[in-house]
Amino acid sequence: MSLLPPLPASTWDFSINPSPAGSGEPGLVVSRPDFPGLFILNSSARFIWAGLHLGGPQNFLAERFAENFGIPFSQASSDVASTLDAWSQNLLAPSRATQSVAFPPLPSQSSFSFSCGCDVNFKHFQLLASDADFIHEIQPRLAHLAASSSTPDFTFHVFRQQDLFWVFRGEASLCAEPLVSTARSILLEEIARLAYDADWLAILHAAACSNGRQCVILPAPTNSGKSTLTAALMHSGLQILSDDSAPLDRRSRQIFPLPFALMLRSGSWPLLDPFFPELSTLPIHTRFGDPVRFLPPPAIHPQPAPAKCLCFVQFEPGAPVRLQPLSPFDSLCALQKSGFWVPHTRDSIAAFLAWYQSLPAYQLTYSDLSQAVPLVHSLLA
Amino acid sequence: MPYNTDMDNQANPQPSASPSPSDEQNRRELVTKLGKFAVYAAPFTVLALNSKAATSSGGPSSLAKRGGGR
Repeated sequence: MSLLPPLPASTWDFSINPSPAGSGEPGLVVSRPDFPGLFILNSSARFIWAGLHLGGPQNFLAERFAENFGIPFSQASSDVASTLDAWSQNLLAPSRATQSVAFPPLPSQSSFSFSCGCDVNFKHFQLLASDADFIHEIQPRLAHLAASSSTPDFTFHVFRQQDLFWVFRGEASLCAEPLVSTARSILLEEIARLAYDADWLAILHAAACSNGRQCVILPAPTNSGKSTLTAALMHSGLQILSDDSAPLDRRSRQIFPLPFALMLRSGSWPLLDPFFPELSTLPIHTRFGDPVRFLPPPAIHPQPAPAKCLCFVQFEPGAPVRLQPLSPFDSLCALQKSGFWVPHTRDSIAAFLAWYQSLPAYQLTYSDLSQAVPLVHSLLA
Repeated sequence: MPYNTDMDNQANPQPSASPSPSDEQNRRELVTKLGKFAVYAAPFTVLALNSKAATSSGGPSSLAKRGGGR
């Protein structure tokens, strides 16, 4: 008779509740201090996790599982076994030592061929970079913020070494990332954090649009129509806080602006042409082989805003516009597909999940921007 | 829903290696009450990697662009 496997030395458990109306299943988020990830468990997986804490023979848990869910023992035994098998690879796996990357010295100033200055929220930033891919990635997003000053408030250096993109602020390394897009994203998020003296509780891969009082967060995986809808919302009068990364401030629980240019892939150009005739005149950049254009936001300074709701975006050619409510559990699973980051501490994860579950969430499917835009406005009404 | 949703250790943050008596009781209640649903959904677990790499529109890594790296 096989016994249930032992638990990791320490875990953090957080309940995911049904919606206030009672819909959706109660889930659980489990995390390990030694693993930078969140395991999102549905209700039956949660049952197994709770059973592990009691220990004992695996068959006893399967019997209780079958009884509680009203399913045959054979199915319960199979589902419990397959869940434990999957968890043995990650949630229940032995702790692995993390690999540290050697910290290179900051190259000499003369090696940085690119230099630009920009102003965000009345603070001046200087960026020096030496890698062509990174310069290509960052330059069009900052062009509309360009400003010169002899005394920058903050200076960044970016270079590539050992197949990693290194971002330094002063003498300190911010990150070493294999993806140029990640290094760019971390740099822009850090610029915004310093510009607004903020402290990020979380960063969502999402756009965010504000009516000046509240904002709607629009999470979506890459290539889902998020930036296209964001540009149309900007044309309709909403303020754009961000088109790619929505940072949540720990103290105020507000979404802060990342006032950088929107990146629009070629598929969105025909859809946006009626709204932005000037779009066709903007330079075309090639990003990873695909043509993109960068649309600068209006020259106004949006203010941070509390989130009113989450609206997951999916563009589907020919689909009628649909807005469907999501339970907190389904919303969290959708956010996993979009991408997010939370500081890996128990307090931060708990605070983030409490904030996240307090927000109504929806799934918006659209093909026609003229129908999708009023729906997003109605969410902010 | 027919069960207490606060029964995890969110309200009583103890590491699972040393559960308090109340945690243990809560988990026993959870095991006896959690399964009362009309429709059974097979267990599934989604792993959200808690990474800043997930917060931006991605592209190929420097390794991939170099055809496999060193």
